[in-house]
Amino acid sequence: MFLSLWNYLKGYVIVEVSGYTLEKFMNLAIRHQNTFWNIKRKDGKIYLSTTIEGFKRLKPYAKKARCRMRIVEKRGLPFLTFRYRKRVMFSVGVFLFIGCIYLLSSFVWLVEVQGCERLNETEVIETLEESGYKAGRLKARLNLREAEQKLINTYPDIIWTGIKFEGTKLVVEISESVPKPTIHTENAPCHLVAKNDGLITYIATDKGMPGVKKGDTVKKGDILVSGSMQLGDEGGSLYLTHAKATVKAKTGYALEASMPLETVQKVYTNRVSTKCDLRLFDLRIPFLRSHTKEQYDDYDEVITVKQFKLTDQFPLPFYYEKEQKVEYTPYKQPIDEESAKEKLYGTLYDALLKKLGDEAQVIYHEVVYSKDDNKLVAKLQAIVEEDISEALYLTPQEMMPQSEVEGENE
Amino acid sequence: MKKEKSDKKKEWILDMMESFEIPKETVLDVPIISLVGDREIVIENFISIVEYGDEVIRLKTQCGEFTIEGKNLEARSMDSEHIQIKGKIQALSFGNRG
Repeated sequence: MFLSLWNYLKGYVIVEVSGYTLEKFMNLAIRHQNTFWNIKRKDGKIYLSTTIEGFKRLKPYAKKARCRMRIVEKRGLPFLTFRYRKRVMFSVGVFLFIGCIYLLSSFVWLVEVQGCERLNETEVIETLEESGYKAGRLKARLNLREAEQKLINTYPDIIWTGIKFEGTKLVVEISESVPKPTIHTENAPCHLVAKNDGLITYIATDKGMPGVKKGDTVKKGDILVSGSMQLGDEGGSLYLTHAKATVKAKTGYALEASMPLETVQKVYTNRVSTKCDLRLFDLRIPFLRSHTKEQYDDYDEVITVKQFKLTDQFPLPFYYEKEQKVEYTPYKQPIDEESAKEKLYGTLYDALLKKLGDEAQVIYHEVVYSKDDNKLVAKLQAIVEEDISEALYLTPQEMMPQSEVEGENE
Repeated sequence: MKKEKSDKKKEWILDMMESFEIPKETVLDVPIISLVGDREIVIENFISIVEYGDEVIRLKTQCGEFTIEGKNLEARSMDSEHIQIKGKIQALSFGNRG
C-alpha cells in the first residue's frame, strides 16, 4: 500500500520488452541493481514496471540481450505535473483549495457538550458563548483552560470539565458532582414542630419534652416536642437535646383541578408548504420558497436544521434550514362528562399521593365536581393521617444557657 | 570426485554450524524459500532466472535449479536478492546442479 503510493509519487513506467532472450535481459538488469515489479509474460513479451531512472539504465542491457524495449504507459505524479505544467490557474486552484480547507478547519464551527445530567446543555453553551467561546472563533485564540475554570466557577455542580478541539468541534466534557446528601445530625439540639395544621392521633416520644397529647389540635409551626428538658424531677435546670418522636395527626387537604370539556383535534390536510434556506452564520440564502403563495389559517410549524459536515469531526459553518407549514383543520370534540370526571379524579388523587409521601394514609376523601363555562372543575377534600413532625434546629442564641439570659435582665 | 570432496567439506561445516546453533544460511550461500499457502512464494538469494513464464518459472540457485510450476504465475517484485511470485502454485522441485 505505502510502497505503491511511494511509487506513484516518484513516478514509474510500464515497459514492454520483446525478444528471444528475455531471461538474459532480466538477469543482466537485476544484477545491476535494478528493481522490477508486476512482471507479466504475455505472448512472448514481458511487461514490467520500473522506476524512471531504472528505465534509463536498462537500454544497454536490452542491446546486449538483443531485446527491444518500448514504454507502454507512464504513471505517477511527475508525469501528471508535466502534463499540466502550463495550466497556472489549475495549480492556483489546487493551492487555494488546500488553503481554504486549512483556513476553515482552524475555526470552531460547533460546540458540543457531553456528560450533562442535571445541568442544561444549552445553558452551558450559552455561558460559554458569553465569554466568547462560540462557533466562528479562531481555535488559536481560545484559551481552553480559562474556559474550563470559568465553567467550574459558574456552576457549582461541575466538579471537573475538559474542553478540547475535535476537528472543528469544540467538545466540552462535564462531570457533575454527586448531590450533597442532607445530613441528619443526631446530636444537634432541635424542637419538633408541626408541618401542617392537624389533630394529633398518636404520639410516641423517644427524646425530648412532649408538648401535646393525643386529641390536641395543632397549628402549623407549633412545637410538638420540645428539645429543652428539665434535669432531675423538679426545678432542675434545663438542658437541650435532640428531640425525637413519632407524631401522627389527622390533616386536611384540598386540591383543585380543571379540564375543558372540549378538545380540539387536528385533522391534517395534505397541504404542506416548505421553505428551504441555506444559512451561513446569519446570512440566509433562500433557494426554495412556496410559503408566500399560500396562507393557512391553522398550521403546525416544523423546523429542521441540519449542519453540513465534512466528516463527523469537521462540521462546517453552513446550515440547511427547512421550514414546513403543515395545514390542519381543527375539529372541536366534546368529551364525555363521565370520562372527564374519572380523569380528573385520577390526576387529583395522584397529586395528593405525591404530596403526601409513602407513610401517610388517606382516611377519607371526597371529590366535588362543578361546571364552569365549558370547563369541568373538580375539588378534592381529603383527610389524611400522616407524620407531621419536622425538626427545627436551634440557633446558637437559643442554645445559650438560660441563666446567662437571666443575668442580662437583672 | 572433486565434487564429492567439496560436498563432504560442506557437510562438515554444516555440522559445525549446527553444534554452534548459528543460522545456516548466513554461511552457506543457499536460498531461503518461504511459501504462503499456495498463492505466494518468496525466494531470497537466488543466482539468476533461467526461464520465466506464467506456468513455469525456473531459477538458478546454489542448490541447483529450482522450478516453480503453477498457473498465472507473476512476479510481484524482483531485484538482485529476492523475487516474490504470486499465482496458483502447483509444484516445486529442485533439479540438477547446473
